[in-house]
This record gives sequence, structure tokens and C-alpha cells, in this order.
Amino acid sequence: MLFCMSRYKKQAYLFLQAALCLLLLCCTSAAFAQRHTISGYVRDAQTSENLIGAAVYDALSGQGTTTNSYGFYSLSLNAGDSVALMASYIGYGRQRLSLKLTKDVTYNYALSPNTSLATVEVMASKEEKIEESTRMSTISVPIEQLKAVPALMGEVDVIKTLQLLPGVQSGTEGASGLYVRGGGPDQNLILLDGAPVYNATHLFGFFSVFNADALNHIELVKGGFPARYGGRLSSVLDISMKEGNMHEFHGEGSIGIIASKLTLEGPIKKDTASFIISARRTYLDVLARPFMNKEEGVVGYFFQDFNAKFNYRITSKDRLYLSGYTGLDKFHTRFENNDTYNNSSYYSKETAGLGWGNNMLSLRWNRILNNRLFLNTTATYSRYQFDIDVQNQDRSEENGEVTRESSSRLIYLSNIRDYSIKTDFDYLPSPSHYIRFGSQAIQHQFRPGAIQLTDEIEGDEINDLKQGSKTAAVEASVYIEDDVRLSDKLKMNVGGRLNSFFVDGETYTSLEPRVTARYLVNDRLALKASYAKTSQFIHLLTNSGIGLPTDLWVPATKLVQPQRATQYAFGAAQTLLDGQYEVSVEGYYKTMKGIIEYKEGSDFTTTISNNWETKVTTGKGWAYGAEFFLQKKVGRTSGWVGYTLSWANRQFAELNYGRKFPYRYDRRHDISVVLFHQLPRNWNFSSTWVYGTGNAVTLTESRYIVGAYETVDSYSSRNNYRMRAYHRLDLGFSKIKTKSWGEVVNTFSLYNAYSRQNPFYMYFAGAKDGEKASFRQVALFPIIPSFSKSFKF
Amino acid sequence: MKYKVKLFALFALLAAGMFGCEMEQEVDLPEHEPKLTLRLALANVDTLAEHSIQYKYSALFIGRSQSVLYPDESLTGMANATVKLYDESGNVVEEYAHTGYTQSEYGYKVEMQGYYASTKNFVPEPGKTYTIRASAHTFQDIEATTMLPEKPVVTDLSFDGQPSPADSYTIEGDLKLTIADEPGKKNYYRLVAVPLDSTYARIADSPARSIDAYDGADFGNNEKPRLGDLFSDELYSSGKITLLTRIAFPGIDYASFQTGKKRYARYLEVQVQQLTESEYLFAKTLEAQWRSDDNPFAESQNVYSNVNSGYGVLGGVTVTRVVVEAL
Repeated sequence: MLFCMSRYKKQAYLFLQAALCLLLLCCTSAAFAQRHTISGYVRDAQTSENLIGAAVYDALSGQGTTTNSYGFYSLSLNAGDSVALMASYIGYGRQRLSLKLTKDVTYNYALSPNTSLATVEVMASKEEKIEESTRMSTISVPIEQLKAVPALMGEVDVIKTLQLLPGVQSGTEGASGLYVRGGGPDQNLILLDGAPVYNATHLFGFFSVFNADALNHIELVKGGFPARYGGRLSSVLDISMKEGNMHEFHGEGSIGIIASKLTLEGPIKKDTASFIISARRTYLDVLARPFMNKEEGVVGYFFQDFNAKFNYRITSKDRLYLSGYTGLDKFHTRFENNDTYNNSSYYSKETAGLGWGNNMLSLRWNRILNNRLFLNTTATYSRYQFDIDVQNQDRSEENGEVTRESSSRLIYLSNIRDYSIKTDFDYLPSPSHYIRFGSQAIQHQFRPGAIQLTDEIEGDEINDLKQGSKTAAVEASVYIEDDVRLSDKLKMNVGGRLNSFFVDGETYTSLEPRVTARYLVNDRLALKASYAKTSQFIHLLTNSGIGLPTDLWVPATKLVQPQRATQYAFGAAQTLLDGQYEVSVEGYYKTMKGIIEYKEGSDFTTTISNNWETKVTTGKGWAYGAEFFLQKKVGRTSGWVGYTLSWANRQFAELNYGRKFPYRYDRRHDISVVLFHQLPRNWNFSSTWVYGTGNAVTLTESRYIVGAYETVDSYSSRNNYRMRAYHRLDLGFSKIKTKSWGEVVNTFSLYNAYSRQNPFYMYFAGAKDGEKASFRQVALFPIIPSFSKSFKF
Repeated sequence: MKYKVKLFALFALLAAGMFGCEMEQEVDLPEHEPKLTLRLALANVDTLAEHSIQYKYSALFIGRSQSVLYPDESLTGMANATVKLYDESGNVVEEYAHTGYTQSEYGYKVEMQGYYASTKNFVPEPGKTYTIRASAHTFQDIEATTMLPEKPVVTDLSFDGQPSPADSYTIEGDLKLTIADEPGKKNYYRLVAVPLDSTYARIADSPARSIDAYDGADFGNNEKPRLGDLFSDELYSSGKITLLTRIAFPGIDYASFQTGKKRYARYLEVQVQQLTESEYLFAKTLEAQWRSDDNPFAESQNVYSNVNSGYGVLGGVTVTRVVVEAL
């Protein structure tokens, strides 16, 4: 909902008026009731790690709530009543607090991990039942389960596990891109401890940047976005890092075939301050180094990442978190040549590096303002940069004297940098209301492409070219939402978000209503519906659609409008067989406007900061479909089945003759089956099977000639063909060995167990050597066995 | 040694895992109906010989299309097409005859079926609209229309040529040039500079080139004016385009070493060519298609065409020439 300033003022006024009414209503209802409040935290007894989304409910009155992102809960109940307040979290023993409520009470639960439960038993980490929650299209993935999924080359990958959920698609074979409900990879808000991560992949997209050992909680929102989230069209992936054990020093790590990692955590001051640090690095370059000859040239690649977090309980009401992440991918080459002839010698050296990575820093301050009001303030810094650095050096000598010397250097870089400050309030005036409100300001700086070139001959600078400018923009937003129980059957989450974006003297504003409703048909079956408007003020310019590091982040400008979307979803959720199974069905319809693509004839090699706006064209998108999700949560055998039926299309006035065409990742059918099974004697088995309709691909249909040696390829429509269907089976076996100092887990996995040749890309091969012309597909990974050893102490 | 063998085994295992597999995939392509293609840039210059030196695509080419599955060897130009050029009133102003050859921009003869030459030596006028129609047996007739741009106006030009310190037969210098660019309208240009001898005859087969651009990679803004490249006025809103570039060109006709009568560069002819949008878009999209040809992940690029019922382009070029001293 974008509009001019005058209309914006009116809408903003209405938004504020509605927000005030909502607050007033809640305050009034709270004031009239004679209530006392029980509040506190729910934590892990062994580590003091906050338990996010734990259920806290009064068994006598049936009233309840869940902990927020910091493990805080607050429940206001009738004064004088007897209370039996139970805190529960999957994988942990329950804890009960019984008392007569005569005053406000602060109580912190410390739940002990329940070792009799399998670590891979459940899909949803919350005990709030699926039919009870107003939330739609939202899934939390427990870290232990994530680690149990068979992984490519043994590298546990957050995003690849999320790709196994309905409505979430992988891009190409092995890639860690996220394509949610027909959206692009830029339309996912990926938050690590509240700070955005702009490129979440390593190794040209094959691995994600998140080191599972350092993570505490993962939640993916595909639709029905609560008002507290904004800035992206298609999904929110909210990842929290562990806080570090408050009681004891611990460590864990693993050694795999391509990378190793180590995580250490422990108290700095017992029960007051703790830390966690985690590092990971690949060693392909180190392994290959002995086989390379410096004279012939050295080529190398590695990626690394480092996470650190410190937290400090200043008082019982104040807590401070400082977390950071830095990751780097580096591909580098070096060639040297040294020729000597009689008294002459010639030396040359060429080095080239291609690097990209994210840096992130987040400082958060929690404060319990009173037992019903929780405040969190977050300041973040985030930067993603991609750069190319090519250097040449030549030197000629005769009789030991330098006769000619020259050097040149080319640097190309692209980056985006954010500073953000955000304040969130959680206000729980009564069991019928959970109000969240807050504001955020982000200062963006974009540098989509900049070049620096220097040439020197004999010490004289003959070229010193610098191109590429920075664009600054400010994004500001306020939001309010209330999870309100209107009756025993009807519960809604109603909210709104007001965003403004200021760039180059232009102001864009959007008002985004968000509504989710849940209606209980009976004790086990709920009908749900949601409506959300979203807007996005940044774009990703990509020529490949597979999430390469060369993709450029750019802002909405005077010439290029923001992206905006409207999504409707409806569905049903039910638990079966005493809660052992959960089943949900959702349908969705999403429209998108303001999405951009390169015009025909443009790509990143022709794009710098000054001119990118003229290289793009703006268009629309549609995505709709249905998702089915069945999961078994408990027992020795657990897992899920997901199925998605979907359509995703795009239309641009200047592409494909203005006609609508399928999105590259338009996938009609997408199936995933995930199974975990506990075997005797500490053995565990896991498997995944996935099936997807082949990706849309543009294939040349005809060829024509326009002059000597000048032939031109032609196709009738973009994405006019399909690659063949994708399917794959992965298997994993692990054995846990208990040692005196901790435990060791040996994991053997098979990626693509029946070695299906899944298409990675297709190309046209002309007639040659008697063979007729044909289209050929290239498969990337046949069966890949891998072994990894992980340990904990 | 044992350590190295283990490493090698590990590396080999990894490499085997990463090894890709390739196979043919059946694709049900629809039957392709061959169409005629056309390539011509109308230009406001008088003779074909002179013209071809100045603009690569000045010769008319008539070709055809075929299914991509047919061998490229069978994709040839059309020798039997009837091609006529019409003015705004519908009068035939030019007829073309098949010659089977053309002249490259470097001056040598290129023989190929499908090249045609004008028979009336008609010189199109800037600001006028022309339509070309071509027909050939068994093919659907094709037609394209273009309006020749106005002649570009050069308001300032200077060149301070000196023998290159690295090679005395090469002349280097800073070329400064200002073009009056019509504001509020998208204009497209190409700059060419060629050395001339004392009789104003071209002395070398290669035009002057910019030497202040990095040769190793083509990152950056290709709309920046550089000799030989097409560019638009998108970066210039002030009504003028100024180019300052260091250029180099041969100071002597190397072929004249053999004749014994050496021909030296005396003048530098700078051509400012203003192009139609169709000419610009065709060249840019063709270049983009070639650039993405070996990249399976790049979005495929269709090449721009303004030819009805066929492929290719009828473009237009107007040329303004300025001659300055080479040294």
C-alpha cells in the first residue's frame, strides 16, 4: 500500500488511532479485572539457555502463554485463585508451580532435559498445539533434529533442512537458496540474533553460512506475517544463537571430509555472564597445496566463519547480549613466471582473488519494565561485500639492472551495509491479550558496483580510475499487534506496520495490515486464515537466479519502485492419535509488484553504482498453491511428509515480449519425506526423499544468420521448457559412544543413495564429429558417501 | 610420504564425488518454420566502399532461420531474395542485388552468400523514415522500418598526438571531444577514429583505440564513451557529451614498407555516429547473448528485432566527420 505523502498522512493517522484504541482497550480490560501476574523466565537447568516458545499454562483455569524470544513469560490470573502453573518444553521434563495467587509473583523455571526422549523426536519445538496457535505458515526446527538430517558431504545445513518443508524450495542441485512460496532469494528476511544476513551461502551457494553448533533456535515464517516482522515479501527466517552455558565449560565439534568446526562455551562469571565461540573452516585448499607447484600456479578456495556471543545478567531485570558473526569465502589464484636468457631476465606475477562474506554485530538489552511489560532494544550492524582483486606485475632486467617495470591492479566491489536500532515491547495485560509493539530505524548504505583501477609503468601512474558511488537510505517503521482471544473458539492476531523509506529525496511509505484468525471447530481441529501486506525497499539484481555472490543489492529509488506483496492464506490444522501426529493443509495466493530483473542485454559486468537503474525492468509476480504437512512428533520413529502443489509466474513489460512466463523455480509438485528412527544400542537412522518437478529453463529453439560468422539463437518464450524431474534419497546412520569425558557421534551418510542423475543445468550441444545436435543435461552429484565424527565434552 | 598418500586418497575421493555426469535429454521442440532475416544499417554516406570502412553493418545481408537441431553448415545467406527500400511516400528509392561478398571493417573482402549491394547508390537523409521489404520463394515476406537520426553536432574536438615512447611507429595522444546531445530524448552513439595519410586516404586496417581502459576485464560501465563502442546518453543530462580518452593508432601504413613508398599518418579522422535505437538494441542484445553463451546459469538473451515476420534489424546511422592533425 504505497501512496503519496498526503494520503500517507491520513493513513498514518488512522494507523495511530487504531493502535491507541487497541492499547486503550487492553489497558481498560486489564484495569477492570482483579488480577495478579506471574512472570519470569523458562530456562534450561543445565546451561541456563533460554527456552524460546516454551508453554506455560495454568492447569486449573486453562489459561496459558508461551515464552518469547528471550524465554520470558507473563501470565495474569484472577487474584486469590489457586494456581497450578506448568512449564513444558519438548525434550524437557515438566515443572509445576502451585500457589495461591495473592500478589504478583516472579518465578524462573529451570527445566531439565529429559534424556529418555529421543533428540530427534519432534518437529515443532513448542508445546502449544498446532490447532491452538493463531500462527500460520510458521515452523520451528529443533537444532538436534537439524543435525540428524543426512547432509551433503556431512556438512549440517540449516537451510537445506528448511528446504524439506512444504512451500520452501531449493534452487538447483545442492544449493542453499531459499525460494518460499514463489518468491525470490532476496525476499527472505534472514535474521541472526536480530541482524540481517544478506548472503547466507558459502561455496557459491552449496552450503549455508550458519554453523548449527552455535545455534539455539530457528523459526521460519512463510506467510501470515505478524506485524513485528517487515522489510521482505516472502519469508522471515529468525535464527537465535546459543547464549553460552552459565554453569560449566563445554565444547563440541566435528571433523568432516571438507570442513571441521569447534564450539566452546562456558561461564565468565557463574550464573551471571557466559560466552560461546564457534569457528568453522574448510580445508580443500590445505589438502590440495602439497600437489600444487608454485612455478605452475596456485589455485585455492576456502570458506570460514566465526560466531561469538557474550551475555551478561546485569540485574534480575536487565540482561545484555553481544553477538557477532564473520564469514568469508575466498577463491584465489597466483601465477608466477621467471625467465632468464643470457644476461636478461623477465619476471611476471599475476594474482587474482574473488571474495565475499558477511559481517554482523548485534547488541541487545532486555529489561523487564514490570511483570507485564518486557522491553528489548537491539542495535545491529550488518555488512555483505563481494569483491574481485586482480593484480599484475612485470619486470625486465638486463645485466642486473631493471629496464622496465609495470604493475596494474583492478578492484571491483559491491556491498551493502546496515546500521539498525530497534525497540520491541511485549505487553501481556491479561491472558486474552499478548500485545507487541515497537519501532525500528535502519540506515542502509548501498554500493552496488565500484571499480578502482591503477596502472603504473616505470613508477608513473598512467591510469587511476575510480567509479561507483554510494547510496544512503533510511528505513523507519512502527508496528503494533495483539494476539487476542475473542472467545473460546476464536482467536486472532491483529496488527499493522507502518514503514517509510527515505532515499535521494524520495519518500516511500507503506501501511501494512496483518491479520491471522484461528477458529476451533472442536478440541482438535482448527480452521485458520491470514491476510498480510508486505513491502520491501531493497532489491537483488541477479542474472542467474541461483544466488551467486555477484548478485547486487540495490535500493528502491526515484526510478525504481519498492517491491510489495499481498498474501492470503487459509487452512486447517489438526492433531491426531493423542497428539502423536499433526496434520495441516494450507492454501495461499500471493501477488507481487515492483520486482525487478535485468533488461535484455544487461548483467553485472556492465553495471556500476551510477547506472544500474537504467539496466533493470520492473514487473509483477503471482504465486499460489496448496501445502500439505503431516508430522509424527513422538516415538522411536518420527518424521514428516510434506507436499506442495504450486504455481509461480512473472511478467515484465520489457521481457519475453511482455508476456507472462513461469518463474525459474515454478515447481508444480514438490514432495519431501523425512524419517528418523532410533535403533538399539545407540544407533540412529535417518533418511530423506525428495521429489520436485523439473525447473523451468529457457532453451533455444531456432537459430538464424545475420552476416558472415554471425549466428543468433532464438527462443519463443522465457522458461519455455522443463528439466526432467528431480528426486533423491539420502540416508544417514549415526552411533553415539559415551566416553568418560563426553560423547562421540560417528555419522555415515549417503547423499543421493540411488545415484539419480538430477539435472544441474542444460545446454545445447551442436552437431559435431558425426553426432547429431542435442540438448544435454549435466548432473552434479552422483552418490556421495561421507563420514564425520562429532564430539561433545 | 604416507601422509601424502592418505591426503591424495582423500582428495581423490572428494574429486570423484564432485565429478559431474552428463547425458542427453530428449526435448520435444515444436516444428520450426524458417523465416527470412535481415541486417542493414542505413547510413548517410555516399559510397559503399567508404561506408563499409566506417560502419561494419552497412552492407545488406539477407539470411534465414532454421531449427536449432539442424547443422550450422546448412545455415546460409539467401542469394535469391528481392529487396527494395521505400521512402515515406512508398516510392522505391533503392533496390539491392546479390553480390555474395562484403568488406570487413578492417578492409578485407568477406565472401558469403547473402550479401547484397545497392544498385542506385541512394543516400538516405537524416530525419527521414524508410521501409525495407524482402521476399524469397517459399518464405513469408518481411518488412522493417526505421527513421534515420539527425546528424550529430560536434562542438569541440582536439588531439595532441605524439610518437609513443614505447614504439616510434605508434602515435598516442589525448582526444577530447564534445557532442551536442539533444536533451529529453534518448540518443545513441558510436565513436570511430581512423588515421589518414597526406592525401586523406586511410592508411591502416585498424582504427584508433582507447588505451586507458583495462584490457584484462570488462567490468564497469559500458555506457562510458570509448572509441569503437556503442553508448547511450543515459549518463548525460546536460545537453552535451564530453569524451576525454587517451588513444593510440599506427603512425605508418605497415604495408607500405614492402612497396618502398612509406605512407605516414598525417591526419586523424574522427567520426561521431548517431544510431537509431533499433541499431543500438540489436548490437547490445547480440553482445549480451554472446557474453552469456558459455554460462549455463545466465538468463538466456533474445536478440532485439524490428523485422516483421522475420528476424534481424533495419538500423540507421548518421555520421559526422571531423579531421584533425595527427601530430
